[in-house]
Amino acid sequence: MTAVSNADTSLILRCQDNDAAAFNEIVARYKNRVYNYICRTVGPGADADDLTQETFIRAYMNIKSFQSRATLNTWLFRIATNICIDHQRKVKRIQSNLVPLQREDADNEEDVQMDIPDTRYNPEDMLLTKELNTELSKALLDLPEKLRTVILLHDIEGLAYEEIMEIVDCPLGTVKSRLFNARQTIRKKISHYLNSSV
Amino acid sequence: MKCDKIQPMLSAFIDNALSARDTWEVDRHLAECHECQRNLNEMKCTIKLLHDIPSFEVSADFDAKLQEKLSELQPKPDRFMWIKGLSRMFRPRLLPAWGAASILGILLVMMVFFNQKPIRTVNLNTFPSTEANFVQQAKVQNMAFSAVNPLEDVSIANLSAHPSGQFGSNANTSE
Ligand SMILES: [Zn+2]
Repeated sequence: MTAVSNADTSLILRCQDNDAAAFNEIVARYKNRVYNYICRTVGPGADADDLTQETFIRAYMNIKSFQSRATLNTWLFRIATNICIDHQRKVKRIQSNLVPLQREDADNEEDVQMDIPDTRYNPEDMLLTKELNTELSKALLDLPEKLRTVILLHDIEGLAYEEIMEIVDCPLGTVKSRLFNARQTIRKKISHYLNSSV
Repeated sequence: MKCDKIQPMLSAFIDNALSARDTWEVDRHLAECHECQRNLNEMKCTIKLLHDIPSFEVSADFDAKLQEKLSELQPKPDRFMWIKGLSRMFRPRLLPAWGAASILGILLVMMVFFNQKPIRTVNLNTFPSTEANFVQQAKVQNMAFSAVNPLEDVSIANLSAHPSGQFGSNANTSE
């Protein structure tokens, strides 16, 4: 962990010194993690692609103001989180403007969007069936934004409580309670799988 | 402790993020509560499933697309550099300096404008203007002469030779 952050720090210093190769290395190192996080937040597809690009563009534009008290990890996920929040606000606003009379269909529409099969999804996992993965993904996307951010960062991206506190700008108690609520919600949604398999 | 106090702690319990006292409380409760034991196992299993969920990976053209966008980004700041430069020149801290500079400028313009001699449009070779020059020159010379030596003025010399002055001519005519 320390080795990683040391390597990250030297990459940032090189970027601040206008070394383009160093920024490419940051992209290579983090693109899949950031992309996965964004896919789990807004759903896979063109939007996730664009938002990941935007995350790195914003990082590139602001790398000079990066301060060493944050880790590169935390900083990138914070940018990605803010970009996703902005995006979802925009989407909500557009949806509420476009279909004010079709409120009942909104849920179905969401289901259709989530059931789009994703070819990049790896079905070879030994423990999980494709159906369970789809169910989990859907449960994650259904979570309120604040709960989802915390569970994605902790249980999928493996970030520590302290790092999440920095990203979501909340005290430890809030992070812990959001994580509990998120896990509890997911657990309940997939409980029929758990009962049969555990 | 009761189940409703224990269950919210199960998440942090799994992460070893509870205080020693809370950990002891949860441990003690779990030993005798099957419901909480089952919740704990299900939550552990949920976390494991989340951890193992396959990751999404960026498409093959991700880097190329990003590079293209980053290169588009380069000239933009230059295009608006002059606006930035202007706004930096007129930032609030420099406004007093700008005020002083404009007052100085106005004063300078006024000095230059009012010190300027009227422009002569009359041709100096024409007769009336030559005459005017001549008359002016004579007046100046006369004034200078009388200022330096007022007693040598011809009219004053005549007055002293004939004290009766203006009546002298009349006396001559009567004689
Ligand atoms: Zn209990």
